[in-house]
Parts: sequence; structure tokens; C-alpha cells
Amino acid sequence: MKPLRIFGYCILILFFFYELFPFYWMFNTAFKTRAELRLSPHVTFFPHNPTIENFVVVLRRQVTAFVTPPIMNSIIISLVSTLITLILSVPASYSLARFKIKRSDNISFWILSQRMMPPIALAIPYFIMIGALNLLDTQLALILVYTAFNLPFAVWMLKAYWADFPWVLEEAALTDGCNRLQSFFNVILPLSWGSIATVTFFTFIFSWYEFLFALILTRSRATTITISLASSILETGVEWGWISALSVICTIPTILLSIFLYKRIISGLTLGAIKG
Amino acid sequence: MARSYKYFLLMPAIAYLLVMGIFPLLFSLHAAFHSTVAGEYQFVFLRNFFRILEDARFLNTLRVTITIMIAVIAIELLIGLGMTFLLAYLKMKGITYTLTQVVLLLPIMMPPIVVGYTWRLILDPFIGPINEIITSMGFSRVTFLTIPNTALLSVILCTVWYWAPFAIVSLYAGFRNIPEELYEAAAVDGATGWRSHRYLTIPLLKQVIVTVILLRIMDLLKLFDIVFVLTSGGPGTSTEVVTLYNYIVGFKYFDTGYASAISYIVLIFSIVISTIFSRLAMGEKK
Repeated sequence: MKPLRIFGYCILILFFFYELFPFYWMFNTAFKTRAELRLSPHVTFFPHNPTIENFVVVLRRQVTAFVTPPIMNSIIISLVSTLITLILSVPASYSLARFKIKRSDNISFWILSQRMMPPIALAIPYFIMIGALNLLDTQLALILVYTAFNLPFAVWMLKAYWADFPWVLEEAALTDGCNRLQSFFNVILPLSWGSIATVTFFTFIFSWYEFLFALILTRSRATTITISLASSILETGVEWGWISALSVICTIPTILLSIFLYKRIISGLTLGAIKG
Repeated sequence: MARSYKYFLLMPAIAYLLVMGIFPLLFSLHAAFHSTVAGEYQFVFLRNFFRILEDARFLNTLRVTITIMIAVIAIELLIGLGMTFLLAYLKMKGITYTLTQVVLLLPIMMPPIVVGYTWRLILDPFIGPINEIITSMGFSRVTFLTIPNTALLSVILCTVWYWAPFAIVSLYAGFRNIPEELYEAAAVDGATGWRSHRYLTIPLLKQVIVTVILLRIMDLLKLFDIVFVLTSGGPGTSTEVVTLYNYIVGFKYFDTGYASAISYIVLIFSIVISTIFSRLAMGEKK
């Protein structure tokens, strides 16, 4: 191997070290005992008495310290919001990609611009609107809000995928006597599962991650997992073991999914930069 | 038949976005022209907007936000281009390449709130690993998050950690779109290695670079979670970004009118950037 090549790999490894260190530290802290975190004179670089105590405490607290376990709220809100997003976005993007629609470019751009909107601009009106509807601190409030943020992104992504779809296949199905609905479910959908899976992934993750609106719109009943992290900051000090255990629980699903879907996610992430 | 059909398919999504996207904005525009101080809802026309110009705390948040933007985007582009050249040079295949892609994806997949807490833990003066190394080398502890300059630096490093992989992934994808024949032709003309990047890759990636910059400006304008957890804007207001101040005015001081006015300034700025972005994206297609 050439020396330059070895140097190149060294830089790459150094950069990976920077990017992976927080993961290592999160796991390291999550498996430490309370005593090791608080009383040990030196910071330990691996848990000396590895324990799952933090996970047990944190999961128990999810049930005891909240009206509904935040983890359940997060799962329900993310799933329902993703479902509504798909129900609304699949027909809309199919229509935009398939048919000639007057001012279709303008409509697409308007939908896209909704995605660029800074959330804080909507925080105050949402707070007042949802308060007026008596929906503060309910799962429905967050579902409605997250769908509003997911929908533009989903339409935009699906439309980009369907822009290069071989529509001849649909034409063939139509001449063979299928109606549009049948051809959609039997021909188009089976060929688009990959794209729909990617969109589902991104919309689910967005709702799972979200913090600002959960902070504003929930108090105790509809608290999500991201908000529940802060409940580990007690008057007696910050329970870093609990925070790290919750962080692991919060991050694991996205890590697992991204390992399975990494190719699609990368193409989804770069869609904005490469395709426009 | 397709005539009515296609609008029927499009309408539900559009209706949803009108109700949840446009209506709230009209609502907050209305609020921006009113004052709620002393419990009364009074029409004050542009007074909220004039207040912004005299608000030293707001101007400070602008300074902080722009400093973070410039530093973060510059560092991210440097890392992004550097790593693109490195990956192009190493030409990895198979398992190492897959591994690289997964490692680049992992940070992006961490929830921002977790990013904030984990970095706060790493930077902690007593139980953080960085201070353990500093003290073991005989230096005194650094309380990174309570000194204005290091606090700002921490926010910048944490944000770079989070989003540099995005810059790498985007720029490298752009690089892979460049036909290889161009490099072969350049090699015949004597341009190889660094020179081929200087005269081929960078000019050809210009579009991607500009897009990444615009996307990142829009993202950084929304920066909230990381700062909220890492420093809460402190010490003092030295890391208070626009979004955080807007949140404080709206939900801590309950000054709805003024908060709406601030959010409109942020919104207008973001519309300008996204219009430039879409012009570039649409222009490329034609």
C-alpha cells in the first residue's frame, strides 16, 4: 500500500472516531451504575460493573411518572401521523406526476415551500388554534401538526420518484381492461414499495424526533419520548445514566432502520441536493 | 374522465396544507399587528415591527445566528469537499464502502434532542471524558458551556458533528454523477489528482455546493433543539439563536403580538432563501 493511501485511511478513521464517539459515550454511560457515575473519582471509559439498571428504572418511570407512557404516545403519534401522511400524499403525488395539471410547477413549488417553513412561525398560531379547539395536551394535536410538516415532504419525494416511472406499464394494464384503481394497486404500487418505504421511514422519524411542538403543545398526558428525557433532570442533580438509557431507547429504532435502508435513505437525503 | 379525477386526487392534500399551513400564517399576521400587553388585544399596526429594530436582545440573536451559520457551513463544506476527494481517491468497494455509508448515516439518524444531551454529557466539567483527559494532562478543568466563547464553539462543533455527514453524502453523490470520461480526458491533458479536482470536480459540483449551502441556511435558521438542551442560550444570551428567543418571547413572556412579528421576519428571510433555492432547482431542469 502506498504511504499516501495509508495516510488517507488514517484521516478517514480519525473522522469516523469523531462521528462515532458520542454513540460510544451514550452506550458507555447508559450501562454504568449510579455509584460509578456519581462517586468514582475518575471518569471511566467503560462501565466497570455493566448493568441494565438504568433501562429498568427509565422504563418503570415511563409508567409511573407520566399519565400515559411517553414512549407509547410517541409510537401512536408517529404511526398515525405517518398513516395519514401516506393516505393524503400517495394520491396527490401520483396525480402530480402522472397527469398534466395546469400550473403543476407552481403547485409543486408551493407544496415544497411548506416544507421549508420555519416551525417557529407556526408555533404561536398552532398553540392558539389548538387551544381554541380544546385539543392541548392530546395525541390528536401532535398528529395534526406532524402531518402538516410531513405531508409536503412526502408529496415532493414521491413525485420525484414517480417522475421517472415507466407509465407504459400502466397504459398496458388499462388496455388490458383494468380500471385506474386496479392498475394502481396491481401495477404501480408493487413497483413502488421501495420509494414508499423510504417516505414512510422519513415521516416516522420526523415525528419520533420532534421536540419543539411537543414542548409547546403537551403537558402531561400526551408527552412524547423526546420531552420525557428532560424528566431525568431532578432537583438532586442530573441523572445522566437515565438520560443515556432513554437516549439509547430513542435512537435504537432509527439506527436499526437506517442499517437496513441505508441505500434508500442516502438517495432520499441527497434528493434535494442532486435532483432539486 | 381523467380530467376531474386528477384534481380529486390532489385536493385532499392541498386542502390540508391550506388549513394547517396558510390559515395559521394569516392568523399570526393578524396577531403581529396587535398587542396583548395588559390583557387587552389592541391594534397597534406596525409598532411590533418597530420594536424589533430597537430590541438589542433581538439584534444579538441575529449576530449569534449568523455567526453560527457562517462557521458551521464553512466547516461543513470544508469537511464535505475534503472527504469527497478522500473517498474519490480511496475508491473503496464492497464491505468497507458499505460501512462508510452506514457510519456517515448514523449521526443524521440521532434525534436532535439526544445529540444535545449526549454532547452536554461529553462536555461536562466533572463527568465528561474531555475534561478527564484535560485534567489528567495536568491542566485545569474547562467549563465549556458556561464561558461565552467556548459555549458558542460547543454549539458550532455539535452542529457540525450532526450535519457534516449530510454535506459529505450530498457532495459525494454529486461527484459520482460526474461522468468518468471527463476525468479520463483530463488525464490525457495532464490533469490528474488534485489538479483534476481543482479544474473539474469543484466547478462541476458548483450546483450541489450552492444547494447544500442554501439548504443548510434554511436548516440553521430553524436551529432550536440542540441549543435548547446544550446551553439554553446561555451563558447570558451569548448563544441565544433567533428561534430560541422567539420561543422565549412567545411562550415564556406570552407576548404573542411581538413574537408573531419576530416569526414573520424569520419567515420572510426563509422565503427569500427558499425562492432562490427553487429558482436554481427549477432552472436546472429547463
